[in-house]
Amino acid sequence: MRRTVPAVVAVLVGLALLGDLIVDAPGINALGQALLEGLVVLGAFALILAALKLLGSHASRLAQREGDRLGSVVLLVALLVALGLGIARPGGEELQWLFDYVYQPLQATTAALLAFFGIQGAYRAFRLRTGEAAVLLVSALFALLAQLPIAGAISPILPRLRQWMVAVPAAAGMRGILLGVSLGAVVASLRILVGIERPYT
Amino acid sequence: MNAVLDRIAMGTSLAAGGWEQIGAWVAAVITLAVLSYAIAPNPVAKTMQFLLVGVAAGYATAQAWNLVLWPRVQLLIQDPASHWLYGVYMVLGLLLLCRGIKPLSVVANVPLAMLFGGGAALALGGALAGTLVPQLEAGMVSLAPRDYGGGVVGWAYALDAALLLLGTIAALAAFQFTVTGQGRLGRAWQKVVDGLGALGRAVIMVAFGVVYAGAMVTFFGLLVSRLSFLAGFISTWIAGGG
Amino acid sequence: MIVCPGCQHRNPEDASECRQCGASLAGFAYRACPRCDALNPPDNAFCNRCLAPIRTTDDALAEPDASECVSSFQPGADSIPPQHPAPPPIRPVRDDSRSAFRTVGRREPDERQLDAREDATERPASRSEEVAARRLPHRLVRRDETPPREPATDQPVKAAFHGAPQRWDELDLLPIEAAIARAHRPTYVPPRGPTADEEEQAAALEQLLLGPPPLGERRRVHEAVREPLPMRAVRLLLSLLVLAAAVLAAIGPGGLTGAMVPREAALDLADSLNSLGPDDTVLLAFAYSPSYSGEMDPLADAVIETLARRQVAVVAVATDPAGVALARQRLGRVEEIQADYAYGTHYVVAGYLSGYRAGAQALCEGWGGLEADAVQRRPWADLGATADLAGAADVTRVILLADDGATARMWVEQLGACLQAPVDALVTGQLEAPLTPYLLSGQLAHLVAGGVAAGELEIALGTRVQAAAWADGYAALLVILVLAAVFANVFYISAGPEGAE
Repeated sequence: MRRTVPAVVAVLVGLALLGDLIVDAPGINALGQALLEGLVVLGAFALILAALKLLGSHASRLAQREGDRLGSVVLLVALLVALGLGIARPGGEELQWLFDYVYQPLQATTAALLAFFGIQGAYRAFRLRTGEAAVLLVSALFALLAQLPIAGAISPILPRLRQWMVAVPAAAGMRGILLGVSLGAVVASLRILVGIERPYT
Repeated sequence: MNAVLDRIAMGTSLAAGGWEQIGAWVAAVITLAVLSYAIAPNPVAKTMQFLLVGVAAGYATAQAWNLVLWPRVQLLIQDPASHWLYGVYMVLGLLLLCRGIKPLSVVANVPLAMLFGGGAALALGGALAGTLVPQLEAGMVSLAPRDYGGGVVGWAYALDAALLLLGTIAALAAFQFTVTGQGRLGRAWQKVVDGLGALGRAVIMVAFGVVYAGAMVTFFGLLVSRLSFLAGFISTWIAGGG
Repeated sequence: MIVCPGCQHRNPEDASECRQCGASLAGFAYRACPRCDALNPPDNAFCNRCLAPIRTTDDALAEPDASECVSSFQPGADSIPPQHPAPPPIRPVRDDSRSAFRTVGRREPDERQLDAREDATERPASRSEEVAARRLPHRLVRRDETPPREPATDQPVKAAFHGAPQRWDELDLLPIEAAIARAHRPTYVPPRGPTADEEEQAAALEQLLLGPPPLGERRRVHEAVREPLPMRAVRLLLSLLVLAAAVLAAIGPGGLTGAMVPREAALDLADSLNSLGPDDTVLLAFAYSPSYSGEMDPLADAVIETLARRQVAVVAVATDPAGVALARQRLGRVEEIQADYAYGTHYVVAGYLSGYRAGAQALCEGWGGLEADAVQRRPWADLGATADLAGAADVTRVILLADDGATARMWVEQLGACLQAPVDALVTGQLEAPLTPYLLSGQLAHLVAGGVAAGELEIALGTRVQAAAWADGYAALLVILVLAAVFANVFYISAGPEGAE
């Protein structure tokens, strides 16, 4: 019962939504829309659940005096301040200020560190161990060179060659990968819809 | 709560744009603190990571409540008869929240099942109708030069189409890990597939090279953007004196 | 190979008598694998251990009857290794005379040589003798310790290896065991002795634990592998060069900006945007996170400025909570530049579509369940930008701003089927290749990717320059990548076959 009911729910909801996508009938479309509404609401609850678990995990770390206690305090204070501002002043300037001057600089600068790690990754990735590594190196350097303003000054053929490289061999490779990824997604989804995979139990 | 915040805002009595100036200082300090991680991991940068996670979680939760849940709760309160379904979803959502409480976590299985089942159906439909079928259709184009206008241009386009088709098949062949074929025909076919696979790996490497170049440009652009902000802040500070 | 019940000699499949001792091989108990010498039940066609075929012919042996099974049952064959015949002289694996450890289970060289001289039959060790010798357990024991008592050879071994086999009632077996134990007894896997490397490691550990090594022996000290100094210096140099290039791009003169010529992709998109007017509405999907705002903000600004200049209505949505704030931020900045482009009248931030795919799919009907805008909480009918629209399906164009391939694919997959409006994608540089197939298949009308393309779009649209000013830095980045490739291969080639990792 404990495992059967969720499995039945997953299969029924999935089939109803699939029916909405495939069939054009008013009843099924209405049911599909209603279920989509439900998923939207549950998605928001899932976000809240994640925040609550984060809160609980760091609160328990503080209570048990383990881990980086200063970090946990900072996290909890930041979470509660952002949450409080957001709920007290929905759509207000305070939350936008927090986003503009705290959240965005934090996240953007963290991502900017990737420039250093990326160049160190290049240092390892560009070793010519195999022919494939050589192809990777040549295509990466050419793709970067040919999109620079100076490429057109060197030769007008460089940008065209780059355009061809992106539109034919690179697109062919990515299309093969996309097909594989889509097939994988289809199989994984079918496994859930048929009830073989039950990640919710 | 609103009254408290209003009092704080009035009490600070900052000049117009004062909060923006404070914000610029805060952003500059945060930027420098995070960039210090590039030199070496240090407690300040690590604390910034905790700050990021806290702000992001709080912000996302606030938006989820303000923009998704609260409007629906209001509708449910105003007109329960028409919006009874929202009530059902709110109850399911509360059951979902019980996932965080160990003794009650099993009650979250039904809303989770709904999320997974619905997500799987949407992913299936999207993958089939949004990627698989259109990409297969796009691959099945004419290889006749006359369909592309004829002449040298037609031949060029036809050659491109043929190379695209061959490259796609080769890329798929690169992921064949089957056992070597038995018999003469099997071995010959295995050689063909292995050859295609080698070509496919080369084609995939070309794609990855383009991706890598783009990624380096992206990461570099992110760094330049932060340095531009710092440069602008410093110049404003020097020019404005504070 | 058939294992002789008497002397354990390995005989070919067609043998009926043992080639060594002459005993009858009828009703034999085991077959030995020719590859790994593991003992297998006689019915096996393939070795239980290494799966090699163990029979040279295909004819299956008839199941011997119980009396033959009993008479040929040899429990000692897989429990206690036979002690007869005596193992031949074996050269020790290492000279452990100076070590505090010695191997037991194998006699000292001088004793063995004496025994070999006493042994009247001078003959090379047979295969069974070698196998038997290998089966003896080898253990490292300290010299001053008394080695554990080894099985005495003078006690009568229950397994009969000499002469006639024993009756089952003389063995410690119940009648039923004899018939079934043979088929089900697991194959004896003799413990192997230490290899030369293992003995060396044990000696090294002994040295570390007990003191300095004797004179003449090499000391082996294991220490953590550290990257050589030149390689660390190169990595630091590359990082500093990246920083310098970024500073150059941020505050440099932007000498290459003037040489930037928009490519076809940027020109096509610019033409398409310039064809829109006040009667059109664009659905602007902010599907990028603040992480990539450094690269995406210039793209967003260029598009929004053009739309604002042309008084095109914009409805902004996001499938991420941060996207709502980004939309407010970017649209708000344009409002500062273009005073006649106001919130509500010309642009609206619709809100956050939660549930990822479900939220995007929900846009196919109405405004995805959103009843009011995210900023002023006004219904759609009260807002000038959306008053004439029934939902997202009525927009003229969809412009997707994405930083992640999966998100971009999700939008194309979910909305491509239900929204008739053409979809333009403005994405980060790494998504150019992954999204090109969608451009080729017609699912995307335009695709502009990357920082350089952002600069080209700014020039093509005539908007304020942000990304275009970074052209010098991209050129420097190319030089740095070439340097990284050169250094990587110089060190890689000079490191030799081991290769530095």
